Amino acid sequence: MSVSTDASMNLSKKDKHRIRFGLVTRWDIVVLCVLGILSGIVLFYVHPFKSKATRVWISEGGETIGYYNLNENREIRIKGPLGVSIVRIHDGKAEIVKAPCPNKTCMKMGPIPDRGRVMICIPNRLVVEIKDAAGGKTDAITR
Amino acid sequence: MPLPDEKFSIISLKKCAHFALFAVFAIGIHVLESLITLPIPWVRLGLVHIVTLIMLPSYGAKFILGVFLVRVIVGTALVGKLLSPGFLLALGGGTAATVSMLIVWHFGKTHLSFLGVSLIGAWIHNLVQVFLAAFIIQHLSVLALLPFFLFLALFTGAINGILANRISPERT
Repeated sequence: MSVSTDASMNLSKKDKHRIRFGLVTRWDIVVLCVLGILSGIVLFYVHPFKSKATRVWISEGGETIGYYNLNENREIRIKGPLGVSIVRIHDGKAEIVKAPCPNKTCMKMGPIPDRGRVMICIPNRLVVEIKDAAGGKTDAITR
Repeated sequence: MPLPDEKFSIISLKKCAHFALFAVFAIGIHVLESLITLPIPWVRLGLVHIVTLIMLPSYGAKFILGVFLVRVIVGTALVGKLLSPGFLLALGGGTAATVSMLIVWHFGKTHLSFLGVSLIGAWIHNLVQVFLAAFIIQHLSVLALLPFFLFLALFTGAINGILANRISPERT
């Protein structure tokens, strides 16, 4: 096969030997470990084990309805294009308890407690997102 | 048809034939892979990167990137996803992966086998793709998927690397 003769001319002896036997080198294992550790670091930063969530951000059709305190039990009614959705905040969690859409995907998600978690009701253009006290748009930074 | 300089034409014809073979090989794998359904959505094994890996010892960066571009455009066109968000993700992630594999191969070919190169390529691919998805959707909550995809890259990268080690043309 002409491909392999071309290739073997360009390679040093060491290269040829290694590729011929397809040997896994110790540096492969080092790469695997380093990438595993990096993934672990990212996991730690994206999903912090301590949740500092205190606020709920609700928007309808891209416009902010408002920020609500997570520790205050209350119900919020939001009028969307399909009808009224009801978001209930209780015990530090937010939950969509009534949705006018046919699928009810957002209701099936149940209460969401974690920082950075979102519930989105596409038919009614409703977004419920939990944010931390510092606010801002960033909920997860990976560096 | 008048032939140009003989030497030039022979070299370019041979290269042309190799290019076409590798491109067809990659497109074939790309299309076949889209037929495999995995239990989790958005997850692909990335078997096409085996073609990139096998080309690394014998061909230059321009050749490999060219094969990759032809593969992405023709492959997604055949699957029917040309210019969809999925195409942008494949293009961005694939370019990053190919470039990173070229760089890693250039500096580490005496120490690494295809396994290490493939791992880095898959990892960079998923990293760039998740950021690109967050940029396209314009919502940072997509980044919550990042750890899952990074750990996933270790598995898919290892599978591809081991396969490439086994089927490399130098091995016969």
